[in-house]
Formats: sequence, C-alpha cells, structure tokens
Amino acid sequence: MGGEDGMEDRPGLRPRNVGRGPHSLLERLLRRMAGDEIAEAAWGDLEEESPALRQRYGRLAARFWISLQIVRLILQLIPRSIPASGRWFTEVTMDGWTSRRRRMVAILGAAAALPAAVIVVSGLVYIFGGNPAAEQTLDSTLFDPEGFAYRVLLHPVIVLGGLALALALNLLPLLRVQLDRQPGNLAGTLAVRLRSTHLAISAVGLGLLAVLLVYGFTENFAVVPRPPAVSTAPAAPAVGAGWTAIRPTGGERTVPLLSSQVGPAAAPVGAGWTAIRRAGQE
Amino acid sequence: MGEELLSRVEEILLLVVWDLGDGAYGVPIRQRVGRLLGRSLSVGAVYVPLERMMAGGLLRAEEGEPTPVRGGRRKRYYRLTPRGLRALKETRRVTESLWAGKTAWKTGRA
Repeated sequence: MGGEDGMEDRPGLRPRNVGRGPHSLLERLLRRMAGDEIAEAAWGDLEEESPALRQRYGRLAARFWISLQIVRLILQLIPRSIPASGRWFTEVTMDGWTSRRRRMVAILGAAAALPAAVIVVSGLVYIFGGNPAAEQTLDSTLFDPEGFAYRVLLHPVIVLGGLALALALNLLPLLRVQLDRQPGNLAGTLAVRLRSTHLAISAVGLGLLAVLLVYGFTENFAVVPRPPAVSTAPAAPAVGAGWTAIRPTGGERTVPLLSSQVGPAAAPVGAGWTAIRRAGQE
Repeated sequence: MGEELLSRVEEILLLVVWDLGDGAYGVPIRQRVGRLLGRSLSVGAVYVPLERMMAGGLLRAEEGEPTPVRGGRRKRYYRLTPRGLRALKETRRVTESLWAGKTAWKTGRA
C-alpha cells in the first residue's frame, strides 16, 4: 500500500512527501504547530470530504476550502503552542541578516521615503523660500493636478505607505526584542543596535512623519474660543438701590413684602417677581 | 462528586464519540455534531477540544490505517476513557439538578 501511494512502509507515522505549492507549505506549518498525528488526521479528514465539494463546486473551490480549514485550524492552535506555564524564551532579531541584505533594505527604505521627502521639502520651499521661480517650477512639475507626479507619486497612500515601509525596513535591523517568561513573570527587553545608516534613515523618516502630522493637524484644525456658558434661568430684573428682587417658588416660605416698611418705593419689576428690601435682619 | 465539569462543547463531543463507538474519528464526529447544532463546524472547532480533552485524560486516541481516499493519511480514532465517562455523568447530574423543578418557561421563578 505504501509504495502505491508514495508512502514508506514503516511502523508508526511515515514521513510524507508533501510536495510543492501553497498546500505543502500549509501542511508543513500545520505539522509544526499541531504535531504529525493531528496534522495527518485533520488533513486526511479534509481530503476525505473534498470529493463531494469537488463534484459540486469544482476542484479549485475544494482546494480553497481545504486551505481555509487548515488556516483556521492553525489560528486556533496558536494559543496552544504558547506554553501556559514553565519557562520559555523567544527573540526577534535581524542579526542574522548579511550586510548586503541590510544595505539593500536601507536603499529600499530610503527610496520608499522619497515621496514624503519631496512633499516636505517642496512645502518648506513654499513657506520659507519666497522664490517665485522655484514655486513656479514646482507648480508645473509636481503639483499639476493632471500630472503623473501629482496623481501617483504624491498620492497619500504612496507618501504615507512609503514612509511606513521605510520606517519598518530600517527599524527592524536596529531592534532586538527578547521575551523571557518564567512562572508568574514575563520580562521583555528591547535593544537598539547602533547601525548608522539605518538609524539615519529611521530618524529622517520619523522627522518627515512628524512634519506631515503637524502640517495635517494645523491645516485641518483651528483653535476656536469656547462660547460663554448660557444660563437657562431668566435674569433678575433690575430694581432700585437697597432692594432685592426675589421670585417665590412652590413650597418655599413666604417672604413678606417689605415695600411698606421703609421710605423709598419699590422699583417696578417684571411679572412674577417681588421687590423686597432687607430690614436689618432676616 | 469531585469530577471536573465539562463545557457544553466538550459534553457534546464526548457524547458523540461515545455514540459513534469504534467509528469515532474526525469526519463522522464533525458531521454528527454539525447535524446536531444545525451548522457546519470547522476542523479546528472539533480537533482543538478533542485534543484538549485527550490531554486531560477524558479521551484516548489511536491511529488508524492510511487510506487512498484520505490521500494516504491516517485516521485518528477517539475513545472515551473511564475518566471521561465519569465527567459526563457528573456534568449530567449537575445539569439535571439545576433543571429540576423548572416546569414553566418564564423568566425569574418557575
């Protein structure tokens, strides 16, 4: 049986030739995450069920369904692959990159940041330059709404995406992340390598990003003074000197009308208001 | 008493494995549970809890023979262990004691 199916006859699980293509990659990943037994059982189940799907929806749909199921299984296995207890250590570092690869990454990152650099530099020329010839040149080349540069090179996705790519590519070789988990404790270390080229490109990228963010903020937001708080209670009417205007409300004690006690007559007040003058004590 | 209580998914899976007997492997388990719940389940929704219960000693697994229809891959048969059976009984006892006396479908007091 083993020979016919390309399997080796040996006790236990045989190493299978998983072939090439995306399915083989998925199967390798699944075997790594779940172990050989579960990976083989799960994939075998899907193979067993796929003929019905193939007959109904076609070969491609059946393959896609298998891939989707495997991806979901791998995602569900991720929490299981992290040990709940005990010590483990993991490290993310690009120290293994060769200097040639790092140089390529630096060049690619610098190129990706170029559209943002162009926008920032030309903006500075407009603001601080005062050179009509330079502004005219920029208007006719970069900022012509019908031009290729304006529609493609200066598209927000290109500018911001390129900047993000430049930062990601140049920060990766600089950083080394270590996670050390012991029972009841998770310690993390973030180390920064002093690699001048990547540091310089990252710094320029961060500077460009800061300028673009500040520009975007100041261009779209303005400081607006807060309006004074408006009281819903009607203002008390003006009364004469020595008099106070009160408005009786339900349930409150009656305030005697004092207008007859003292000399000057009460000043006229609005409807619902009574003018009183305090006579020494309450 | 003292046995661990099962989640609803674990209870259903154990009962289906028990019910299927010698033929309890991934495909029939998934199909039976899917029919019971009225929706199709992903492979992961079945294998992850099955393996968790196996690690907990509620199930044991045996490898079957590879077959061409499965692309030469082996089946993985699951069997209920005595501990799994005790967990099922304990879960049933607790559930039934909670349901006892509930005769009317009303919120609050029955």
